[in-house]
Amino acid sequence: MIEIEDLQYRWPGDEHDTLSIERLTVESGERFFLRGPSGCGKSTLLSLLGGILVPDSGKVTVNDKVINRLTATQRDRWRSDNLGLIFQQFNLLPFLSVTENVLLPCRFSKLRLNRATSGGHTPVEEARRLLQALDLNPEDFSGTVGNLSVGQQQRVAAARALIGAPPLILADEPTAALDAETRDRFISLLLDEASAAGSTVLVVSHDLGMIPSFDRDMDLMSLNNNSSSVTSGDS
Amino acid sequence: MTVLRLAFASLWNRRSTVVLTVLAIAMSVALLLTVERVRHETRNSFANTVSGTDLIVGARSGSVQLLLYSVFRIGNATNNISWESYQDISRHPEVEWMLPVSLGDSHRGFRVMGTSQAYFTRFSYGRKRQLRFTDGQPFDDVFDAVLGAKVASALGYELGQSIIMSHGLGEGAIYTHDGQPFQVSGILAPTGTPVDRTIHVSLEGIEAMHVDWQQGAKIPGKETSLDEIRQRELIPKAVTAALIGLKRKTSTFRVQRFINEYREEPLLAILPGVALQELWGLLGVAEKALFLVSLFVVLAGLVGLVAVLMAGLAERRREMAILRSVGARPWQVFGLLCLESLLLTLLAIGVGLLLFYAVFLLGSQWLSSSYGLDMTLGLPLLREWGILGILVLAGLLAGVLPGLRAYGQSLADGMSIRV
Ligand SMILES: Nc1ncnc2c1ncn2[C@@H]1O[C@H](COP(=O)(O)OP(=O)(O)OP(=O)(O)O)[C@@H](O)[C@H]1O
Ligand SMILES: [Mg+2]
Repeated sequence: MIEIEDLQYRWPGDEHDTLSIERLTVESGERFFLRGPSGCGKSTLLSLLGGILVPDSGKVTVNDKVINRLTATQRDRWRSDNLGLIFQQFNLLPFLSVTENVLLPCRFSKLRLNRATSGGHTPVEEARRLLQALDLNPEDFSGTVGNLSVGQQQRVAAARALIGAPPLILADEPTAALDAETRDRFISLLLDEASAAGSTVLVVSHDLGMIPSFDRDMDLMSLNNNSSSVTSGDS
Repeated sequence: MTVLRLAFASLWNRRSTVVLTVLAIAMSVALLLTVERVRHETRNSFANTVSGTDLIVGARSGSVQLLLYSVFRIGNATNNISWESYQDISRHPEVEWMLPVSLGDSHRGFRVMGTSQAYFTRFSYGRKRQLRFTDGQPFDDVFDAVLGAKVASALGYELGQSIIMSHGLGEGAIYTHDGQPFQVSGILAPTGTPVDRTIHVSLEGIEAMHVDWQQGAKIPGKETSLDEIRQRELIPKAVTAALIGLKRKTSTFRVQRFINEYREEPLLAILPGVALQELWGLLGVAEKALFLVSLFVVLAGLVGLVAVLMAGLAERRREMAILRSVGARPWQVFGLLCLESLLLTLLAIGVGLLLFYAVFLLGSQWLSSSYGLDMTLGLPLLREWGILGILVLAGLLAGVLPGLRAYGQSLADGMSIRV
């Protein structure tokens, strides 16, 4: 699913490469956990995988597509069709209803809309199904986003990443704002639904507590050959 | 479609912060429309003050001055046309009709104009509209007077009312023709022209007022009775100006030259249309300035809109990043900002139109009563649609700057949301 070869990336203005990765492979359907201390480049790597950033050199292949060779427009299209994204916090648009938030990817990608409705139901029904599968009650998601707890918000974000079954789901510290109990429940629900949809999941975090839920984990520090070493580290 | 829905939802979410901006723009739009409409109506009513008259004749002075006193009853004539010249010109083969205008007296601030009976059938204004009586008939007796609509309504006069003219003009006229009271014989329908503010009497009436006068002052102790005056042959020595209608328009310049080169005394003949335009050109500067100022007020409103949208961007960075992460293209983020600006402008224009009509309904009464400016309520005029169209475009453009900023931000931020 993911192939990284000889990747190098440096933020403009930096003296050293932020990332220099010789090789990283993630199999299709795998649940992959990438750990590393703050500032080591986890979010940067996800942006590269999501085709938001383009490596200075090397090759990023996702789902058999060399995404760094695509034009910006092609990458935008590819991203909306193939990627589900979850951030650390504040994933939702406060001015949309919960269901509308979940449906957002279907509004920008025909492909995901088609996949979401392939089961013969409407997009809204699919959104509700996902929300319920992620343990949210109908009365929770009938109201506004602002009334939800952080844990509930993250589950709505997960439902949004899952809708239309994108091949790859990237999550950047999705549990940072959750306590240990909610975290575990969230991760297991996310991984279960992703498996059901057949999506590959890559989660980055410095929180090692959830490693047991994953098929494989790796330390970005050991993967990254950049010359500068990160000064602060908690691993 | 999605972007439009997002723009609506996002704006609704921020309604408390954008409502003032919208109100500011709405008010400026209402101002602009009001100025434009008043401008239009003024120009119209201005151009409509006289029509069907081919030439205006007066003593030689400036053409604008002649127009001002003969048609608008503003200012004074420095000289008169002698009655002999008047009659001579009226006998010119190309002249179909000629209406005398004799000014110099007033009644409670309204000017008295001496003219002939033909005035009520020949004079026209607007699109060839004739004078109409709401009450009574033209003057018949020497001491009959016909009131303009405004005179009657302002002074509350009715038929048969006895009025006393003052010698000279304005409220301050101290000498009165109290020996010769006039009777109201007719009241004219409103015209929206200076006719409304005029008291019409016959030329004989003007003479009659001045029987006991000599060189602008009353001869002390002399009181000629009304009936005695009626018996006399009252022939004017001069008139202030005259309106001429020609048999054929093509002879206008020929007759004009004839009058301008008239040997017996220095006279001036002007084409009312040309003189009106000349006068409007003078007034037009103020009117254009007013329009420009209100245009700048709208511009200030739009700049405010840009500022509000720009200021909002900082806190909406996350919103943009989320949109990008769910598949929005950068141009859609750009479009979102432009749409928001457009929607706000449209809303402001809508509210502005409502405000405009409200002002209109409240103000037209006052404008009509105090300036004789009759505003017609109706859909925006073509030019106003044009202005609104340009405003819509400007609203769209106002979104470009914040849109570009958001576009740049969303490219630079990528998916990492930094708050
Ligand atoms: N938009 C940016 N512009 C410039 N430099 C950046 C940008 N984003 C990140 N960096 C730099 O790249 C390096 C890696 O940042 P990154 O956000 O990828 O780390 P991270 O592992 O995700 O950290 P954290 O766990 O705190 O989220 C940091 O040194 C950071 O300063
Ligand atoms: Mg990070």
